[in-house]
Amino acid sequence: MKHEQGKTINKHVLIGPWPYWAGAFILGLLNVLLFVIFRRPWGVTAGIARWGFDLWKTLGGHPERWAYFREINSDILSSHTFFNQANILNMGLVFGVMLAVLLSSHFRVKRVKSRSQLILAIAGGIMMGYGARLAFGCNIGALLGGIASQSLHGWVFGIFLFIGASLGTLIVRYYVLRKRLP
Amino acid sequence: MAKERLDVLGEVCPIPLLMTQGVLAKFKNIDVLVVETDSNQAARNILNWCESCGFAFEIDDLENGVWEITIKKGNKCIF
Amino acid sequence: MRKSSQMLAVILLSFIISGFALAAYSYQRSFPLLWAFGIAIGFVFYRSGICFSTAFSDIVIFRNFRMFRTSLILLLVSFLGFNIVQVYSNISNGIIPGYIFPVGLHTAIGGILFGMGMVLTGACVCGTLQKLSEGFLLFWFVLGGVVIGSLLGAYHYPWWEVSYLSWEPVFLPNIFGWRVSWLLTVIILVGVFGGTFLLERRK
Repeated sequence: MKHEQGKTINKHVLIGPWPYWAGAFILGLLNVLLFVIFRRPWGVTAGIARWGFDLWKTLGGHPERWAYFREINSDILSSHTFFNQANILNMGLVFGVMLAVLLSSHFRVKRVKSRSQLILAIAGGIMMGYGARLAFGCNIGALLGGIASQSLHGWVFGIFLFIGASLGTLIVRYYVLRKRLP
Repeated sequence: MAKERLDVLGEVCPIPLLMTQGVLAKFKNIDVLVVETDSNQAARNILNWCESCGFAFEIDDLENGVWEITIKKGNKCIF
Repeated sequence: MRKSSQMLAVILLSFIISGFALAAYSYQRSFPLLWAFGIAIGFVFYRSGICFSTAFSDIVIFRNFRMFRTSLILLLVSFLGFNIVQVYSNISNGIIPGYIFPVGLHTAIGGILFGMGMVLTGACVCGTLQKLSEGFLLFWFVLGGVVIGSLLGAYHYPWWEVSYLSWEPVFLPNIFGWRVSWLLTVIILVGVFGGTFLLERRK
């Protein structure tokens, strides 16, 4: 029994998987609409950098003195901690996914499997966060937003993202094939 | 008919598909592989791969968020 | 164990979503709309199963460009729409909206680091938020890593900017002109899209 049925849209719009290209098209339209209305491209990591900012502040640091936040991300200093543009969009994404997951009854808590998985995850996260700040965005903000805005940084980021992803993939494949297979 | 079970619960893609391929490549006597995964994306990845290789497959929702994919190995894909 | 419906949770979630929309409205009129956008984006992401991390890892492991092509479609649609907004805004009041940032060695390093981190974790940042909502506890830790990395990156950025190459933001139409820049972008994106089919066939 094949799981993928894009034909009976009525029945499956809420529950069934959508074709990849349809999702890409809709996301593209949403991205453009977002840009039209709010005049700002969609970005995910700016909001997360914001969390870092607030976290460090609560821990006693003074990130508002850092050149990065003063010059580049300066709107951080004036907006509300929780109810700001970047955060609402990110929170919306989280709740949107949760809604979709629950509607198809897919929700399940999946625990961490091993310490190595945990270390890899945290390391990968740190790499992503660091890289995203250096390039002013992640694959959504810098790659998608940058290229769509016709900025050179988007293209440069894209090329090197491909290189980095290829390297990382080879590492993952080596790890799985040598260490994980029974 | 040699039937094996592969448990990749808790693994995120690309690991489930990598392991599915790896197991089928390493243990050539397996005819039927039953993969248990709890990642929606990984399940879809595996199904797409089976489809491209021409393997017959069946998918079953075991419980909330757990899928069981039964793959009948064919001869086509060399990996 | 048979599957049980999670509709009760859906109803609860709907209440929370509505409540949040009302709360957001009190801060800014446009916030409920932004909230709706976020929810729509998240919903579409889960239903369509689009994953940037998969797009790149599938190329290397399986010589499969399907998810990559999907990303290209997203990119092309976004670009076409953005361009219209940029042109319109430029003509109306000379302002060019968009993400136009400094480029330099840090951009390249950022790309490599992000790309590696993305496939090592199995999800990009937005994918991390998704997997979190699906119930993967692991991704809370990934998110924590992203927060830490972001802080470190922000802290180190001036050092990258001063010690290594960094140029002022480069807006491509300023170099090539609006028409050529548009054409080049479309040709490259469509060209890469078509090229992937050739690469797949040459297996």
